[in-house]
Amino acid sequence: MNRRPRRWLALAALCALLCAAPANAEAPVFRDEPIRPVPAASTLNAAKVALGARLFADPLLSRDGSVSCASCHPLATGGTDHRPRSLGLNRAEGSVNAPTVLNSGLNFKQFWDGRADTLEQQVDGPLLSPVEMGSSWDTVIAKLRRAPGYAKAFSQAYPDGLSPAAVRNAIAEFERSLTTPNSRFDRYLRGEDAALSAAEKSGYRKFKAYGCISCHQGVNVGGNMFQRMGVMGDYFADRGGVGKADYGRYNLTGDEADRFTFKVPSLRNVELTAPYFHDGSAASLEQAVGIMAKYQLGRSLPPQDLDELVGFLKTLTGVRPGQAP
Amino acid sequence: MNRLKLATAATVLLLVAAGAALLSRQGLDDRDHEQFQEALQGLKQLDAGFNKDLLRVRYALLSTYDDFLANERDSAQALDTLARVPDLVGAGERQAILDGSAETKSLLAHRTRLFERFKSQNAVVTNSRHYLPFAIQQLLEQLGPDTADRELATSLHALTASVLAVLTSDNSDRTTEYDEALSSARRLQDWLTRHPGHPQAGAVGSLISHAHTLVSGTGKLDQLTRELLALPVATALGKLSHTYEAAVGGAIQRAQDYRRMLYLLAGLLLLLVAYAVNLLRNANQSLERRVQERTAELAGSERRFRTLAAAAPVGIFLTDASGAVVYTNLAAQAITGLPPERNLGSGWISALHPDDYDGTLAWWRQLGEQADDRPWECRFRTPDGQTRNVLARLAAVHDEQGATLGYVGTLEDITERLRITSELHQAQKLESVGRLAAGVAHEINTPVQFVSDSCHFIRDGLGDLRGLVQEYRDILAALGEGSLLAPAALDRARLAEQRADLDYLLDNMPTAVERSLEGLQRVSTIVRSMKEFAHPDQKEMAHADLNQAILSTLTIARNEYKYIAELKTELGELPPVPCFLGDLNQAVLNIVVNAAHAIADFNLASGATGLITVRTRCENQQAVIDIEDSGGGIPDAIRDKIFDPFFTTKAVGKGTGQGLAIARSVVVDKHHGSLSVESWPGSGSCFTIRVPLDGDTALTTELA
Repeated sequence: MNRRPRRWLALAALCALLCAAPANAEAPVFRDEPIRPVPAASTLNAAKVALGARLFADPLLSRDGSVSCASCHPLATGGTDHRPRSLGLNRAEGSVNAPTVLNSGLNFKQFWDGRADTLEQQVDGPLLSPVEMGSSWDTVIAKLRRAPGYAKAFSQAYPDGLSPAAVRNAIAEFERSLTTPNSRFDRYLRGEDAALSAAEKSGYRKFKAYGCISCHQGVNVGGNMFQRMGVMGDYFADRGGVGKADYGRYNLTGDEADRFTFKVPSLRNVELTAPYFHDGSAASLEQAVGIMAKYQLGRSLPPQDLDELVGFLKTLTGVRPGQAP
Repeated sequence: MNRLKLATAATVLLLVAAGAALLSRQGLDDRDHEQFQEALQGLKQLDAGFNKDLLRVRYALLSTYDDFLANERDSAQALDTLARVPDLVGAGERQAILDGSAETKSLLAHRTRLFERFKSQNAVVTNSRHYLPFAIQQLLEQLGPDTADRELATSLHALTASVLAVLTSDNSDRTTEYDEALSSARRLQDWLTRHPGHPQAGAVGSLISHAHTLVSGTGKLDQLTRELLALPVATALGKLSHTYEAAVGGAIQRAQDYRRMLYLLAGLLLLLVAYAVNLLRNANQSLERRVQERTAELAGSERRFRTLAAAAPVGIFLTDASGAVVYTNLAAQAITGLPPERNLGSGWISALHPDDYDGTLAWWRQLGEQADDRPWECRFRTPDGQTRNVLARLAAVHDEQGATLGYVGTLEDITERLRITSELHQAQKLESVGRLAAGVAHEINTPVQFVSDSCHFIRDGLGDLRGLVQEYRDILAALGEGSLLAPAALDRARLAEQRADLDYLLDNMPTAVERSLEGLQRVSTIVRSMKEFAHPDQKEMAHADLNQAILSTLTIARNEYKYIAELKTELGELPPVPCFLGDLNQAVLNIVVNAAHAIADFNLASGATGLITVRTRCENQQAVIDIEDSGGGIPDAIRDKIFDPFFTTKAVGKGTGQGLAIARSVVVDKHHGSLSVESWPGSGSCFTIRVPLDGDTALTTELA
């Protein structure tokens, strides 16, 4: 009776050791930096993602069948159409620049003014906007019911079948799949020191030193807070032509403190997503970085610093969906 | 039994109560409860984590807000859980908990809004804080020895000191430090106004801007930080936790109460079960007693029945549901003449009279199929050769559900009764003959009288003729002797003829003979009628001339009506009618006599003569005999009774009351015909006898 428990104890200890070793090995280890690498694609429902992909590219969602999600967010070109303002129905121009859908699932809120808390909520925005897709849920559901394959795919993926909620979720699920992991910078963060050149590393140091990092931090290098456009200078006075779209979050909250405040955009894949800012006014990265330095940091950038900063930003381009790693 | 029902009802009630108690006792190991507690605990930790991270961010120990987002997500999730109050919480406390959850949620929403502002502010302030000393240092390095530069350097040093004071002050209220820093910035601004063309003017402007941002931003940031830390999230959670624990405590108390109640219920149940078992045992014993009593009663009843059945003068038998005889009493055994055991099953059939075999079995079988309790007459032949006429009756015995258990039958030996009935019948016939005798005698007397008179006349005439013949012979002898001469002889002969009144004799003697013959013929007719009327009893129907029979009957009845009524006969053509003629004559006679009496009664006062009309005809394969009288009719009140035996309207001694009953029995029972009566009070009645012309071969039984 006395020997047995002791033997069990030894066995248990061995097991614990064996189990603990690989667990330690698998724990994410990366540099303690304000920026964190894009996690490997989490577990998403493949059927929903596939359904969302089909919906995303389907102009059926728009009133006259001319516009799909992909019209303004073509995945092949970085998830955005490179227009200062996208064109919706009848080539009507939107009020703000279309942000990329890449890594949009990592943003804490959606839209420039952050009016949608989730990707699901976001779907209603363009879908119902008269200048974007100009549709309604009744129409969309009716069209989807008639279109071949959707009803069946929905009833397979969702217990309640085809419904606005299911459409929202499918699109959002697809968008959550659009992450761009394994950028050179992420590899550097994960310990691959050679992933960045010396200039790029210098660029990153300057990114932190100038204070860009104050807003553009976290896994998405931005996308987790709001900031006023022009904290250190009057951007809008200098730009001129201030409109309602420039009021940003104020349009949502009515709080004077929120005037000109926007969601800090993610800088991941930023080299692919020109033009920049909510008004799409900066055509190039250099231009954008310069404006940021002036109006957000109250600094002027020496040309070399600007180059290095831009060089660093380009290391944030990750492996895009469908692209070989 | 009632107590048992009560005990059962109480048991069921207790079980229901126990079930309800079990159901309403929400387990404390409830998953909802665990989740709620985890969520509550999680929120407290998340709140503490938030506050800690807030300070870390504020003091630049943390440089990303991702963790806050995770905190926010987890908090939202936990809040969702807190909105689902576990069922174990009583309705009273539920609202308080929901209110607490809502308060927490609203606090956290407010905190999120404040924190968004904090993040924006913090980014700006952080940048200026990092940049300002660096910018001042850079500027100082650019400055030369001239007055303006030295002035600027002084101002910059002052600004550095005052900003440092702002950043490092321990005072909770740093208004003084802020004011100092702002005035330093203002001095710098003054310098800039005085030296607008200075090469470092741009750098100074930027520096002033950063100093403002840093100073006012830090103030705002501190304000936000204070507000964030002051948010009573922990208090709200503590209160919620307290309320919840109290509620759960109440639930635990209730659960313990439930458990005690369950124990109590279980105890009561046990007691009840014991009580019910006792009751059942008692009930069982009393049931057994009652069964014994009932068995004894039944045995007694059975004995009584057996005795009764055995002593009954009527044959009694029982069958099972299939019709097999299972019991016969002594009387039944006497009827079949079989030993007891040979009556059982279908044994009794062997005792049936061969002629009644098929009919009886058909009757027996049909009883099983339809509820027909028609009695059946049949004959049994005992082994010693006696034939017994039996009236059998059978009744089905049903249980409560209506299923046939068997049959009870009786066998009534009617041999004697039939014999007596037959004798009575005969007696009535004799009675009518007797009563007719006087009339018949009178009828015979009249012709006998004048036959006698004629015979006397013939006898006297023959005496005279013999005297005359003797005179002739004497005359002839005298002539032969010659003693007498012819003329004298002639005179003497003439004289003798005159004396003998020969012409009269020769005229009247043949008449007298004719009258005698006629009288004898009449007597002969009456006698023949008598004979025909008193037709010997037949075993079977025979075809007969009904009209002739009616005439005979009317003849012998003539004395009954001849002074009362005129008789009219309208006899139609009738084929030979199969009948028991003697009985039918009796029926007709009885009706005719009744008709005569009816007329006599009706005409008693007036002394008028009535009319009896007898008609026969053939109609619908029936021989129809109408006997109509012109009497007073039959009162409605007695019309139903006139065919009943022993019913009479006549004075005691004048009739037996059997006449019409026998007529009906003869016509209906024996001939399967009908006897009906129509009556018109005040003008007469008409009795109609109908007898089927095809007879009824089925009815072959005649009285022994």
